[in-house]
Amino acid sequence: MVEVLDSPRWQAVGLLIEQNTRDFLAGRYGLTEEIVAWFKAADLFRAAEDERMILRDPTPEDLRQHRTWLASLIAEGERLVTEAHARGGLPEGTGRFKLADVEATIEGLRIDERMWHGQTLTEERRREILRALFNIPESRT
Amino acid sequence: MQAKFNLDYCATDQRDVDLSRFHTLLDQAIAKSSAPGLTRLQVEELLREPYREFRRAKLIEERARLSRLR
Repeated sequence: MVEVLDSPRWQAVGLLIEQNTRDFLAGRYGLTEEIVAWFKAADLFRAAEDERMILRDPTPEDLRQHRTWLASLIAEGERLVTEAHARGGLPEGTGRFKLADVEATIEGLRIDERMWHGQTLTEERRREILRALFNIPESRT
Repeated sequence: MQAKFNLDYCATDQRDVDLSRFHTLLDQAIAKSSAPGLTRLQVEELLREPYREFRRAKLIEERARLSRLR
């Protein structure tokens, strides 16, 4: 899958996600280390998003790749949370973050999914809400 | 916009707090708005362009600040 990606930014995200998957399947690390690796993948994803979707206009390929890595990160985050719940929470001495921070990061990714890829609103409803919330007369999306 | 930006870039141990802050502000905006039946999910879907412009400005500002320091 990685071979077809044009952008080194998206490639880097994909490589890290794939490495994390290989580490999980091989049982190389504990839950805490897996969560830290997942946080790093999410941060790298955010950096790729900055370069490919914020500082320039995203291409249809960027949007496709963004959606793909979002789905991967959300799925992996959910697996980690499920694993943590099955063990009665995070291990002692996990460090600075709580399980709620992992869950909040997943929700942040879900917000991005809705923000970038949601298509539930009609144009009329979109304009109505923008007017009501921000006093923006016309949708710019 | 700032609350979403904080959520995107904060330290891992702040995510829970920043998500709560974002939701609180969304709920306040919805309560103040005149749009009937408005939900968080609908507002989030609408934030794409306004948030993108906000985030782009913040990133450019941050990069300019860093380049002045170098």
